[in-house]
Amino acid sequence: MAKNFQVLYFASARDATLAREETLSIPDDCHTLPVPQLIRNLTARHPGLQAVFKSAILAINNQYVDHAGRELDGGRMVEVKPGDEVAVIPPVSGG
Amino acid sequence: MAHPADVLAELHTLRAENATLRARLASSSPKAATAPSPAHPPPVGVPFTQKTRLSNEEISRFSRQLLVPEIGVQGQLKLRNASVLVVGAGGLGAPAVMYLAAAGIGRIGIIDYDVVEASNLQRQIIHDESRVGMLKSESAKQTVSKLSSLCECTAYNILIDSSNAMDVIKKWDYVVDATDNVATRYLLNDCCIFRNKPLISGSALRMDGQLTVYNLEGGPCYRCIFPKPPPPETVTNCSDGGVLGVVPGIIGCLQALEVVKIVTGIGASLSQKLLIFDATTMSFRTIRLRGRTPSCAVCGPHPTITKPIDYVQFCGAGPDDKAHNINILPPESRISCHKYAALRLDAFPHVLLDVRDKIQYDICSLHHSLNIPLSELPKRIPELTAAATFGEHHEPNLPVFVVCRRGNDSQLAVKMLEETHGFTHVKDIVGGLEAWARGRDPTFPIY
Ligand SMILES: [Zn+2]
Repeated sequence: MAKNFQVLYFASARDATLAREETLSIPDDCHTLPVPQLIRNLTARHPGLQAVFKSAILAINNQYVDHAGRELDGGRMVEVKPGDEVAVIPPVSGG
Repeated sequence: MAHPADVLAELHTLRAENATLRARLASSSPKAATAPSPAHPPPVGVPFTQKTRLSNEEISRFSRQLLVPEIGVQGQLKLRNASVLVVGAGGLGAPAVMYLAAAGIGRIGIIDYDVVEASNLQRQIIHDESRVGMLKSESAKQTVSKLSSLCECTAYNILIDSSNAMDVIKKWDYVVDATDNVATRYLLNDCCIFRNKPLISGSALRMDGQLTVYNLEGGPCYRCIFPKPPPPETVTNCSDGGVLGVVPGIIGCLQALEVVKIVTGIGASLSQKLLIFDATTMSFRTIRLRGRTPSCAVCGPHPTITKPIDYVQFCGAGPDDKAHNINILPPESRISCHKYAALRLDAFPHVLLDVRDKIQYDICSLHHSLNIPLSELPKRIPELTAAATFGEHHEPNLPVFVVCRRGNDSQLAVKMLEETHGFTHVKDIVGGLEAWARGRDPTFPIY
């Protein structure tokens, strides 16, 4: 069974990936994907994301997680599970 | 029936009498002529008095809001007694200021140091064609005064920075971040923490908008969520990236709505939440954010920043959304638009390389130019080599002149062509197509 998850790109993350969204899979030998590994995989796939990740935040299922994978106030560690929706959200500053 | 000439004569006499009577009235009762009506805002400097009752005028004017159970008389009084500082009278600030004034916010401050330009009018609906060339803060204030004599409006024609922000923000209850650049966003965030003011922050670019509320009742600040500014090369501004006018319009309206809700205490605000608006799919998504970061440099228990810093240095970019001119080439690698125009007139053999993106090239271009966007240049060198190779030669033998919108990317392209791809006869056209339009060809459009 495919262990897929969605990645949504916003603002400058779209310019760096030339994609609005992608479906990726969790490697066969893992059940879940740690957030630091997710960032490494996405950056390897789209080198332009390296600069974007210097300030972009991540959300899994509309919930902020920091780049180490901590949810909320340094609490629970989360990893990407099959069926999750990951959003890469850089700050927009125009107006 | 009276003769037309008689009627005209009588009209003339009556007009003269009328003028005399008016003049006499004005001089005999100066108080009646100059005393402000009760609805008129007090002169600047007079303390703003809090109201505990709505006037009949206010009841009529705000009746549709008074009838909303969540607002009512108490809510309307809270709006009347509130003061809101809107930083930026641009795409976000324009609708935000207008809705706040219309909703009955008692005092509004507007900060902007820019002048209205024609290219603003597609989104900055607080200004109009007659205001082109006027200070934005002044134009916005004029619109507010036409909209509502009940609103006391202060225009600040200043560039808000570390030297003045603390003093200005001190005087207001709420701050609306309607700015267009990263440096001012961090400045406002920090000063709102120091002065303990809620910050209603919106932003927009192209088809994207973001909205959140910082520093409200213990909620996170901008630095809790975005501790590091984005690298300048990843930041696109509206003047380069474009913006669909109604997108900041929607975010600015939502900023006004958040202010009204927070002032009156309605429902749940966007504190600790980030609203993301994607106009292409018309989707609104709300991300639940973290609370305050204990290690936050400004709002944490052990702050390392306790007063405004140098935000231009911190962000690596200035407090505006204008393009800044770079100068990275020696004079021999550059040519003025006048000298280049003379070469064109002489039919001097050459290649004109335009390195703008296709979307800009489609707006306007010079005849017989080759369009290869800067980002695609490394992999499309063979096209340029072919165009610049004439006759029996196998190496490029025609000079290449490089042009872009304002003369920055063209310099980068010249540098790249010389250093990485071995081109020897390459020159940048100084100031790009804007210089061409201003100096050489007034019929050439400027965008
Ligand atoms: Zn903070």
